[in-house]
Amino acid sequence: MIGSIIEQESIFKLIRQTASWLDEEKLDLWLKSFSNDSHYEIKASSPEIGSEMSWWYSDKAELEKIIEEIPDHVRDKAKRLHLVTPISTQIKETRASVITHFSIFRTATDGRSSLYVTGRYKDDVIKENGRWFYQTRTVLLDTRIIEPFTHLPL
Amino acid sequence: MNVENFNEFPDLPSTHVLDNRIYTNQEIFELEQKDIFQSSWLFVCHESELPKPGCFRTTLAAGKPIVIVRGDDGKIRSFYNICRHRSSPVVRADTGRAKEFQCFYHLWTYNLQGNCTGVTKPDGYKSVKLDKNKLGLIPIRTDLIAGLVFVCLNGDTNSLCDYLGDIIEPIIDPLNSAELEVFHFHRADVQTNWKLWQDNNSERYHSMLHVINRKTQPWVKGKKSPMKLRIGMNGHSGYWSDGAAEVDYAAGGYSGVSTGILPGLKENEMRVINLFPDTMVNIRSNVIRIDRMVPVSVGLTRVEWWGLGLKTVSEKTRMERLKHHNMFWGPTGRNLGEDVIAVEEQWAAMNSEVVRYSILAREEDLNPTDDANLRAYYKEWGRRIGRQPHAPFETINGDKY
Repeated sequence: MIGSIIEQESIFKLIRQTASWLDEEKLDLWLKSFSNDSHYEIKASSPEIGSEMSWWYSDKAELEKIIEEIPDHVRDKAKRLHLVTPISTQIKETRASVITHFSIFRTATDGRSSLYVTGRYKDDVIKENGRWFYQTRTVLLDTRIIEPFTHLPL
Repeated sequence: MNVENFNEFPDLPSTHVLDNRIYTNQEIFELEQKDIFQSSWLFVCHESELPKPGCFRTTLAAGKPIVIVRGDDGKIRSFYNICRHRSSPVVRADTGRAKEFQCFYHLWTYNLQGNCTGVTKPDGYKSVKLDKNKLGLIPIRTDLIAGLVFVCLNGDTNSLCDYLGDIIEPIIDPLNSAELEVFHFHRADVQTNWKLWQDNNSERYHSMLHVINRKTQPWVKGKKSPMKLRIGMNGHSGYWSDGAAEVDYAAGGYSGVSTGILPGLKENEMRVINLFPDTMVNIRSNVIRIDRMVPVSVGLTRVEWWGLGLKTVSEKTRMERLKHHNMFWGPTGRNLGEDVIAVEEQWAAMNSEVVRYSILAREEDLNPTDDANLRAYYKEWGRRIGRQPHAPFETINGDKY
């Protein structure tokens, strides 16, 4: 029981830490929190076409390339702040599934803050060499009008 | 230095200059709504979004609410989405399937052909002999080409075929030879004038804005390209090659983006058409992007984006197509975010009225960064609203407003 609570806290720490790295744009650290066979996806649904959509689907190598190019992009320079609330975990030895509610606030360069997006993280994590890594991170967005668009992972 | 110095007319032919107030002036915006949007064929959706009888889609056309629906006979029709009783919307959902439409307010009903089929408590109208047969939903001209559904609010405008002319031909095979599906739709309210988004979609000179294009389209910075601008009738234009038309994805370090190619296309081929006034169809190998604009105000434009591809493909192709689409487009696309920042900041700067004129003076024998297509677009724009793009407060005859 205590072991399980410790593992759960360790997974929650991963989620909080990686949210912070996204806010600080420490994307190299964020990327290192993914296992080698991992992938990252952002999904939203469209009532206009009545279906779910995938807005971003990358394996780790593709993520690495995208992140490498981010400094070259003309992009939104607002600060972001993630608020994350892990809701549930299911741990089976070295694997776990986690649902986390999240919202991201955006503070523009003129100091104006607003809610940017909200949704859920659906994560599958794996423990390797005593440390938890994302194997899949699926960002399920409730928000589907994103203004401005994002070059950064959410 | 006095700001007025920057308002001098550039030493260029008037056809190569735009007065930036065409993007910021309220009167011009209102003229455009009346003389352009209310009398042009406007793309509204893809036929696959209405797969069965009763399937409907609501949207705005020229600022007016409309509903597009497939009837029991399979025909796609459009109507103003306004009840003939007290002008409430008859359909409140974005999309769905209905056997009939019923106004939520006083429950009048209409069939899929738009006929009024039911008036609630009809006895109350007996003394005035209300004839419900004369109170159907107001129909809108609707036509399709290559699965693209267009509407036109004006009965006098030429047929869709005549309106588009031959600019549509290069996209007929990719769009019309196999069943397509819409796998992506999103919208955003972009803080810019609607024409700046159409300009951005039409001119290739800005390709160097994009990190990916600088790598995958080496000719962006060079002088020659296998891709050529095509100038159509009525302000339409396009952009494709007659032969070797590769986008060099490998040069950018990208792979696996060109499988499941659309009919009639070669690997890594790209074809773009820009339809006057507000639509772009952009095809890259296995994926189609369609943009449509809904001008909300002079400085606010609702842009809608569709992603389409072949309906019957392997899961592997589906995933690669998705990556191809998302790499450039979509809210997390590498290119689209850059475009939006460009046109929003451009519009904000235009509002300062420091720089009066835009320059459309590139002449490059229709190489991609030639401005010839923009000049053709604005010639049509001026003809339609009776104003000169370089001097919009003078009539075509030179009289001042």
